[in-house]
Amino acid sequence: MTNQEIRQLAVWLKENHLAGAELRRPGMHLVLKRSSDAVAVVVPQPVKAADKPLLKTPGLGRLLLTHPDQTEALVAVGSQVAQGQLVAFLQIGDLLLPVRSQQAGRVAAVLTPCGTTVGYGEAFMRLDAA
Amino acid sequence: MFDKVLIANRGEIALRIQRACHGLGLKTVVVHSEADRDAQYVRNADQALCIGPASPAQSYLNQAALLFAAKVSGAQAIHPGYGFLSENAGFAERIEAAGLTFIGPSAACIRTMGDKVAAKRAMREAGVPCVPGPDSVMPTDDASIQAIAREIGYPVIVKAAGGGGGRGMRVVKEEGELLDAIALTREEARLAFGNPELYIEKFLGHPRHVEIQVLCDGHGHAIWLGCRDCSLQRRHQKVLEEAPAPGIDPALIALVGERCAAACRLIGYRGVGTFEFLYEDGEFFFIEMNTRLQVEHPVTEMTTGIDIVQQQLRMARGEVLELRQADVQLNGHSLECRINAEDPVTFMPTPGLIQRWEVPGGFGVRVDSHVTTGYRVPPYYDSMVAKVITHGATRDEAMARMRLALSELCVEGISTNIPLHREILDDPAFCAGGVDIHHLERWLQQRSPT
Repeated sequence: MTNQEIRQLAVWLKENHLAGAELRRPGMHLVLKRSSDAVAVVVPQPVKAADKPLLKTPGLGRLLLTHPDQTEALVAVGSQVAQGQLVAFLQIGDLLLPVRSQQAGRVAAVLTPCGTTVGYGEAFMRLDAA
Repeated sequence: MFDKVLIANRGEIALRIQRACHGLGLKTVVVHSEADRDAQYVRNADQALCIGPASPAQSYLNQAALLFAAKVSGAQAIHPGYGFLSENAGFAERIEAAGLTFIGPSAACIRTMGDKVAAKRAMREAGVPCVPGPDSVMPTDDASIQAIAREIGYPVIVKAAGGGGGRGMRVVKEEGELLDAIALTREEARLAFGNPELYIEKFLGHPRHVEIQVLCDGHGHAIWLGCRDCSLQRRHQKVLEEAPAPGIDPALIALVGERCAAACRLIGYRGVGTFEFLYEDGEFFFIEMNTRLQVEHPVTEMTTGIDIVQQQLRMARGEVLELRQADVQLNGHSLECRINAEDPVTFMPTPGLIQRWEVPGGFGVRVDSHVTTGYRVPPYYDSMVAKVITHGATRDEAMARMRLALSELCVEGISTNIPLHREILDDPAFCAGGVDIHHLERWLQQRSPT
């Protein structure tokens, strides 16, 4: 799809007072959103390989960032984490499975709220490399 | 009684089961590997959970992950589909031990039928016709083994009790080859199935593969739903199936069908299952029972008008079978072509991005497929991407509809075996009906003698 075609789509959206449009084709995903006055064109780029390491869930379950019997989170944004350190739990029924950091670093962001049901391989925390 | 079903499979059958669940008002949990994350049927699920990486051993065969997924999602039943864990008695037991329902027969039934010697014994006791040969463990001394083979009459076939689906077997033409063949097969069986036990049967030279579909509840009712002919095979993989088997006396099929249903009542079988037979010179010979839903079940659905997967779910929910044998009417003829992502000449898998996907339609045409335009066929699993099924009042009509359907099916981006199916439908021997299980391989050999 050319820039001209995207521009044309944006014009049609404005003329028809539509808030936005989403288009999916093999290898392409286009989202157009219109703000009240201007027409905002958002073309998501393929996600760049993150230079910051992500911690991913090693299995499925309910992601807990705090032990159910404790009040304080295992780690928080800004915490220093060592490789192999316990950072979360996966809860499956009565079972609590430990989730350990695959690497060392400082916690830059927590991406998944405590209590969310997650599958295998979901990024739930971002680190700044140590 | 369950109202939320975890579907422990992938691809077209995961979609087929999901449709049956939704049709009955049941909620679905689709588990998937990382490779299947973006498939449309995953998005259509009431809940989707990634259970592991692409490798089947770490995802679709990972029993612990599947049980965890059921626990986390609150699903009370697990449908195993076909392949993967569908005939794993240990898995069925673990599911029941976790207080969940395994959608299939009891673990004991799966185990009996998984041991081909025990299965043959059970079938013989129930009056199901079997291939000539003993239904007991093979003796250990050479003289007794030779005596058995002599009594059956050469050629014989040596099979592994733990085998099935065409694996772990060796044909022996004369007595001089027998003991060597047994030693080799025993070693292979020990390595491949962890069970070195063998048995000997009469080898049939030109049989057809004809099977009987059964449907049973957990209250002692069992019916049979007609037969299917799956003789067109390549390397023991079915390519094209049809219902009913052409040219076989319906009275004979009914006789065998009744015996199959009686056998189910005898062993306390629950759910759907298939009795596989070799058919040669007007006689049926039982080879094995598949204790699960089969790929080719739609041709039976088309000729009986019965939704087999919905029935399977209802039986697992403990319902009493409402259908009686007299309610099962066999109408017309149905064909199924398995469309695989593979080269039509070399049969090498052709995974990749499907850039265009247009499916056929119209009267008497059905397509079961999980594929959509933009779908990427992953390289990790079976290469089947669709089943094209047609129905007609006669076999000729079903074939004509299939030719038309295949001409409408448009796949761009990857190669498929559609050209092979087109050629099969022009083969005079296939069109006449009743070819044997070696026909396709012979035909392929003649086509390209490489």
